Amino acid sequence: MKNSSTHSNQETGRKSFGYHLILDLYECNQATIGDINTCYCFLDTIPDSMATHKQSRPFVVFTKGLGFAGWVPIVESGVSLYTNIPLSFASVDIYSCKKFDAEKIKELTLTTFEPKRIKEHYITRGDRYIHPVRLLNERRLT
Amino acid sequence: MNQSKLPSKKSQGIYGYHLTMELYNCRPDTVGDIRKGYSYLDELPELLKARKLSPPFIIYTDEKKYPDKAGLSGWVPITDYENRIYSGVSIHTLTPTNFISIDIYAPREFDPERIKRFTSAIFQPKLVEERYFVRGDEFPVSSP
Repeated sequence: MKNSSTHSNQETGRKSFGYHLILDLYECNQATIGDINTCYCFLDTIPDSMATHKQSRPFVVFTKGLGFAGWVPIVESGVSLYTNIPLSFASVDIYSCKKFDAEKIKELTLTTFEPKRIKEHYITRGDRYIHPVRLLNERRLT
Repeated sequence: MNQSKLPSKKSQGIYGYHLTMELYNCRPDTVGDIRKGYSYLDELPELLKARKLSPPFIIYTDEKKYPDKAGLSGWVPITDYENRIYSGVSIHTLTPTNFISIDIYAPREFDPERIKRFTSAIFQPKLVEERYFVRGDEFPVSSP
């Protein structure tokens, strides 16, 4: 699943719609994944780190002692964070139609939540997507 | 990926199940319809045998500022019936290309074909790409 792209994408020369970094973080620092301010700030600042455009402040749900669920919409798609305090686990999904520096974002995530183990995937999304300008050109030709 | 049969939560320590879907050439009048987008997020948790943690959040993308990215972005946070696992469903739509991207991250295993049928009935895409995979599958067998 790592760095995947489909044949259709390669054959047509089309760009994919977007890029999705999936991080599952094990044995995180419970003080950080259990802190609403840390989790909120992570979602609030990450769009700038990706050079994307936040559409609103993050939406969050937090239960003390259990975990956090949050999402921030960006013009380019969205970022979500789910944490589970008893399991010291966090899931992060960073999805953007604009290419971003996955290593930089991963490092930022690791620095924030301090997991001892991670599982990561970086995938492309919408490999058959035709970007609007190209779509208009194709419509003109047909 | 694209596996229809994944390890079950009983046999391995798995946190959740994730379905990504890309919907191409959707019915134009559904892609920018905020009521349809909201209803989709509102109704889907029940099909996933999950409980909503809050009503869905959904907003329009500023079409004047970002004309090539006009559409909707929405999310609903969910949990299992025991209220132990938090996850969620998000949708991102683009009206200029009638394209929709959906992420369904559920606390328990579900039938991706059933969800795909439910989604397709609403947005009527001509083509769907999907991936179905597990999340957090490196826990000891007894957890979560």
